[in-house]
Amino acid sequence: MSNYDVIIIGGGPAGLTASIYARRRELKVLVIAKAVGGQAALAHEVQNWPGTESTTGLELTQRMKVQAEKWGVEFVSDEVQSVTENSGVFIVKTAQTEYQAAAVILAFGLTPRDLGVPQEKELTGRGVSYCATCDGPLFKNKTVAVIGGGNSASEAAEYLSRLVRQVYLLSDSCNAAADAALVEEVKALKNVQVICGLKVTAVVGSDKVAGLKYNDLQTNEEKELAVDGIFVEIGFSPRTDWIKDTVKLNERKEIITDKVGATSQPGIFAAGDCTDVGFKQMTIAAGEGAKAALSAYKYLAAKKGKVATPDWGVKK
Amino acid sequence: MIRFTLFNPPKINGEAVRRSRLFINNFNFMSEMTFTDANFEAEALKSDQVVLVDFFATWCGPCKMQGPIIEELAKEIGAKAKVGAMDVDANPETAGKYNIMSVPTLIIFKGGEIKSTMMGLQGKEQLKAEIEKYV
Repeated sequence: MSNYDVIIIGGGPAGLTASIYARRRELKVLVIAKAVGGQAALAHEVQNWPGTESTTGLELTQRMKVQAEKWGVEFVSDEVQSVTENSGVFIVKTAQTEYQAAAVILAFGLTPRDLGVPQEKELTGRGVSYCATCDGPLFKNKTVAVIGGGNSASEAAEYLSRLVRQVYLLSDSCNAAADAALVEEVKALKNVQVICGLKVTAVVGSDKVAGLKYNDLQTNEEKELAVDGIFVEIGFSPRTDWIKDTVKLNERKEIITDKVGATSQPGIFAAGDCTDVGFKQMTIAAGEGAKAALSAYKYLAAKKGKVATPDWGVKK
Repeated sequence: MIRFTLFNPPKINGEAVRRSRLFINNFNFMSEMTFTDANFEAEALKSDQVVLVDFFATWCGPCKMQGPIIEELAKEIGAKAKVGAMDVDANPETAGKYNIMSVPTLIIFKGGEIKSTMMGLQGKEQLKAEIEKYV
């Protein structure tokens, strides 16, 4: 079994920064992530990364990876299924492989929220999509529904209206969470119909999406809408169910961390969007990643009976 | 400013990576295959090998993250399987035939038949394990 000082789960700005910091402290570091970049890699333009006026999220995160590799960070393109503790050592499992680490940093970010209705999972990629800019162009001249009451749903509806024949924008809140100007703009579009005060109850279709069912909250009637595509835009949440017995989560299922990135489990640290950090931003995630790495270093030093000196003014 | 040349494939700009990747493949510098409507039957359906096709689009963000994974996978897996990508925009016939409604979609073929379909970004080890099932 491969042995590491620190295993970092997640390859976005938090995980990549943590890997660089941990490696610079001469720890043996492995990053496990499906792909490098995370949600940040999907940002079309990043204008608030200090020192870089404008870049793409993909370019920025690829540079972080190149930098981490130069320091000797190892990468595995896989998905972690569990982390368990065994007398002070952590076993990190993917579907095929087990890794061992003295400390773990959780930095796996956020995942698009799903509706949690029947047939949704089965028809994901068969008409159900969580990425309008990815899959929108595959629905040219078709009829689609966008589900969600926030800005991202309205923006998706506006974007899709340029590609498809007809868009239905569905929400329970009547787009209350979206900017009023944006909602007005969307409402004015000829091929967008806004229907609200409803709750989607099921996706309809066998081998691909044929429509959806919803409950009209005013009349309590069950209605059906024929569509070829369903774009779910109801925000993001951390996928933490698999780790909930190991580290404490808050009511939003975010990992609770202290000021230095420690979780409720000694030896497990967390950083970035998957935590209860107040803002989900790349620069903040990177800083949190650095904190978690330095905390992991301190933890490992203490385990060996050494005192980690402060990271300012004292020679290592 | 960073400049890229075609024979020095950039590691940083994803879009450039995708484009140069296809360019290079046409010269057979790498083991990754470029599938097209024209070669799909011969190279994928009639192949003796297990074939993994990454159906991607140039405008899709997750596809750009998938690209380098496919490239590495092709190199690592060697002769065990044929691994490659198909641009759904440039090859509407095949993409239409397999009803690609989401990108990336990854399909494993063997003997002309679909063995496995995976939607969305996949890790390299996950793909490797899935291919192993059919080798």
